[in-house]
Amino acid sequence: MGNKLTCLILLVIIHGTGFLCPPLFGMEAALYVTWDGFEVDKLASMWLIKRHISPGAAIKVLPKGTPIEEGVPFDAPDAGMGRKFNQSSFDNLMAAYHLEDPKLKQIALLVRDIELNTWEAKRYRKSSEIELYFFDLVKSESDREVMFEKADRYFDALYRTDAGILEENAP
Amino acid sequence: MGRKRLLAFSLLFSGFVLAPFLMLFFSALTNGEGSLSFENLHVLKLTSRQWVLLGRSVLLGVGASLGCVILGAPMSLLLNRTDVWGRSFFRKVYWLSLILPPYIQAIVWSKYIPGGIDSGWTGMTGLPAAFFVFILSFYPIVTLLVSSGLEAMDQSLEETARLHRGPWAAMRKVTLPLLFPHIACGAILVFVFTIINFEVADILRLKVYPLEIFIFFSAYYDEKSATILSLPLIFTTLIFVWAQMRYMGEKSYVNLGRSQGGGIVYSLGRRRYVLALFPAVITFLALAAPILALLKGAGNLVNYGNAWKGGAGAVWYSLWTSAASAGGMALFSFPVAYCLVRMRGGLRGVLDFLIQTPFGAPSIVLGIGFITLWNQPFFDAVYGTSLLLILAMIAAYSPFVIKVISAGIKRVDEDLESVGRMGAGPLKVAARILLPLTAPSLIAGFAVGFILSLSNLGTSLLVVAPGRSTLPITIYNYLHYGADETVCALSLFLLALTAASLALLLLIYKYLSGRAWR
Repeated sequence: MGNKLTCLILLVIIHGTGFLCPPLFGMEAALYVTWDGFEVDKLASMWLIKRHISPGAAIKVLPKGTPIEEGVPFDAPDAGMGRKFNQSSFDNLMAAYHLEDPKLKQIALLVRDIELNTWEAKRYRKSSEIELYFFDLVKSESDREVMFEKADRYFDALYRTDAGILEENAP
Repeated sequence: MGRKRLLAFSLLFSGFVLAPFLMLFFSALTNGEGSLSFENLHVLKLTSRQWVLLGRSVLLGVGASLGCVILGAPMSLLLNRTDVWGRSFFRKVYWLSLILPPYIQAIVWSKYIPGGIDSGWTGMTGLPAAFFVFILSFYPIVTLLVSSGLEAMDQSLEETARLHRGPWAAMRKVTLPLLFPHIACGAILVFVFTIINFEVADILRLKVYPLEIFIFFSAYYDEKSATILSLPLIFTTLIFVWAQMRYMGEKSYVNLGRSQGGGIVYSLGRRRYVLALFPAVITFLALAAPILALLKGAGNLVNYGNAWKGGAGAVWYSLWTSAASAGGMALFSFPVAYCLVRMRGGLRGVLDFLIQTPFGAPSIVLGIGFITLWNQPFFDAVYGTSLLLILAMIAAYSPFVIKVISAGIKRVDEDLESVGRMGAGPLKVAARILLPLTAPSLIAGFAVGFILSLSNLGTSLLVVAPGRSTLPITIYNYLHYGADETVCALSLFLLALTAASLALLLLIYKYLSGRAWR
């Protein structure tokens, strides 16, 4: 009993110092924070948080350049779960929360193809379609909430799609 | 240390420098089990799109080097051989634009100069925009090399020609032919630096070959294809690196001695004022305009505060890793430079050949090579740590540092060492004679290594320790997120750090030079 209590106290202390980050410890934060500037990776990451990481979490969007001093930062320059040269924010969120769902992995490949492959010619056919849809959405939709809703619906549908989402373009 | 041991060390060091590339070849020619296989080489059958990309890269390199020669060579002649107005001022400042890495020029000219490349003021997009950025970034290389050639030239030849045939004929028939190796070497270096650069293309969204390699590696995790695709680029650049080595032969790339002054100066008459516009405009475009644009873009002090909050860690990390890298470069390059200067025979040529090879390596290829080499179970203690970044910088920039230190060693009379060796061992001779006399060149080498490491983006992006970020990487990240004020403020931090370090090292260099040759 004494040992268990000591372990528990130690774990609380370690967690309190932030040594174990929330995702690893399974205690999902209630607030996720990012910068504005919406594109596929950010909207996909928001969908991932809402549907697969922390349903019900609040997502706060700050203007570009504002230091993020609360919540869990994502898709922002200082965030561990941000875009890197070889990982999209979506990739980093999946890695941080150990998400192994094969459908999510397929979506991650598409998001990476859009985010990191800067050529117009994408590897996957679906990537161009997604990119075009979100380009139009962000351009045409001035109401953010409506934009988020439409983005969520799009990714819900993509997640439900059974086959062919990784069909490759001819080289 | 005996010469044989020095040679052994130098060969070992060249092995370290070349190991990432050898690893890439090994990886390209083996299958998953490590046995020989030519199966992967089908990637070398480039698609028509990849041929276009390679062709565009070569075109970019040729255009940039021509542009740099057109600007850089006359600039040097004007500042060294004429009485152009403001000559002394322009000689002091033109080379300072080298502290602005090409990617900062690309960021500034594409985003923060009102009416710049992006908004069509110059009417430039794609290749012309990249030409513009590379020419502004690299023309001082040609100017510096031509100036070094002018300093080293036997002026009696010029003087005689001038007396007999007049100034223009002397310039055409004597000065320019004698300068040709330096001009050609400058052009080749610019070509190589341009063709291997992917950062500028990435920022300007220009489709070039190094970006194709980068995307295969970063977006598709297809290390094998990225490796094999890099081979044509490595071969192309190596041909040019070796060509410039042949061209330059024993000539110095840098002149560490004090300028002899008193060289031939042609009088331009009244034209000296009009012709001053040439260095003035170029210096303004390459140095003053970008800094002013960054100051304007950074806005008020609050933005600097925010940038510091986001970038302070990266500033300190960049400083100490660059200092450690430059220290390593100076330490390891010294024995190699000594071997290259003092050794005779065929082995010397081989060593020079091996050691200069990384000159032509694209930074991302070096990064991929380093990852391939060090991501092995027995290198666990190094892989994923800051030591990997430091080793990568040492491998990338030692060839430059060796050139600088070699120039210093060449100035030390070999007889001094011979006399010293009569009464003391080699270590004592090195400590008492060689090191004090070459200390300035060691500082100069350290400065070159430090500044190149501080501004490196391509390799450090790939090999930086997880969770760490250098200042250029932080700028690159903020750039992606469109935080314009922060990008400008961080870029200014980078420039200020570079300038302050350079000023400090220059002071130390001058102090040591005074002491060494007193």
